[in-house]
Amino acid sequence: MRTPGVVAICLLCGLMSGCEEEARTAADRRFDSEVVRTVNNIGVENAIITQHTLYPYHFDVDGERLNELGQRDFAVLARHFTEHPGLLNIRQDERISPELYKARVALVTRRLREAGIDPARMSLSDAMPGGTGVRSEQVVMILRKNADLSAKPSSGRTITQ
Amino acid sequence: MTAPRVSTVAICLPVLLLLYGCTQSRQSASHGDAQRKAHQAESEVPRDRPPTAKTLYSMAEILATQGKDTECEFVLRRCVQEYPRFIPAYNSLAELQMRQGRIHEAIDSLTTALKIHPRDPVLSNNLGMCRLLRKEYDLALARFTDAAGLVPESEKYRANMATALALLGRQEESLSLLQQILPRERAEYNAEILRKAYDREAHPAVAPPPA
Repeated sequence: MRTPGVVAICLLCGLMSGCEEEARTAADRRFDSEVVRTVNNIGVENAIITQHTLYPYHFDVDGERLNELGQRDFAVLARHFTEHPGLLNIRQDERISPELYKARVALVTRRLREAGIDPARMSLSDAMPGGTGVRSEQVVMILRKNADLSAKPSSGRTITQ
Repeated sequence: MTAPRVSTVAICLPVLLLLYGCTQSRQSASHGDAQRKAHQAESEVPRDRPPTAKTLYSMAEILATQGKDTECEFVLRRCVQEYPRFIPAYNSLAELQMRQGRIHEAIDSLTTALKIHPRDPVLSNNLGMCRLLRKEYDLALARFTDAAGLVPESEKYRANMATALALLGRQEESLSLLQQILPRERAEYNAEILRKAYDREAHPAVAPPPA
């Protein structure tokens, strides 16, 4: 009697967990979509931090205020700069007057201060995310230096077998 | 019957019942979507009451699946008239109108819905799409930016923003958005395609004079 009883109980437990599995799928789906959202969010936030740049599309059209997307992206940057102050670019293009650009910079500086970031530890510029790039004169200088170095005999002992 | 046999039967019976229960639920899950919706639509409506918004919407979905656009539009219009706060109907109506090339009517449908739910990202995005089709890129950008502001983690809305920006000639901003959602190489590839699309629009090739 014991063996069939144990087998039947095992079967029962297996079946019950099988039925439960189906009931859990809705919650699982919700969980999965939350995971995807979070992963997307982390990916986008990392990219925003890497770019550390506010573009014209972050601001109201012809206005100094950050739009809703601008406020969300700025919040990501502010969270990062609280611990790691550094460079923040605010892009300017030919459609933006110097006065409007100044107003935008002033607003961002104020918002940084409000977020508890010391603007003195921050540097604001109009550069591109990857920096301004190396100027051609600098390349010429580097090439000349390298040429000078290769002409001189290297110091130190020569390793021989 | 001996005692061990009785206990075995007593255990086997619930096992069989459970097995039957599980098969039942699997069978019901395997029914077609449209069929399920149709049953749901029927069961939701008491005989003496008008159909609910969900019922009308389900009915419209079934009609759309069957390719009955005229009937589908009729049901969606009725849904919108009777339940003006039921947003999915506006989106489906606009989608149908866009599919038929009636962009202006789709814009009207979505604008009406946005007056009721101004913070709905799907409505904003779809309105942006209509504007994009009408080549009103600045208006499209404004709607996509609204949608992206409401759901900042959505790659779809940022990609749509990138498209509108590129078609406005703002290539640097477009690339920056693409780089937020795509690997570098794919972002640059897409940005290049968009740049070419902009160039084609900004500088259309002059047709050779007739011979």
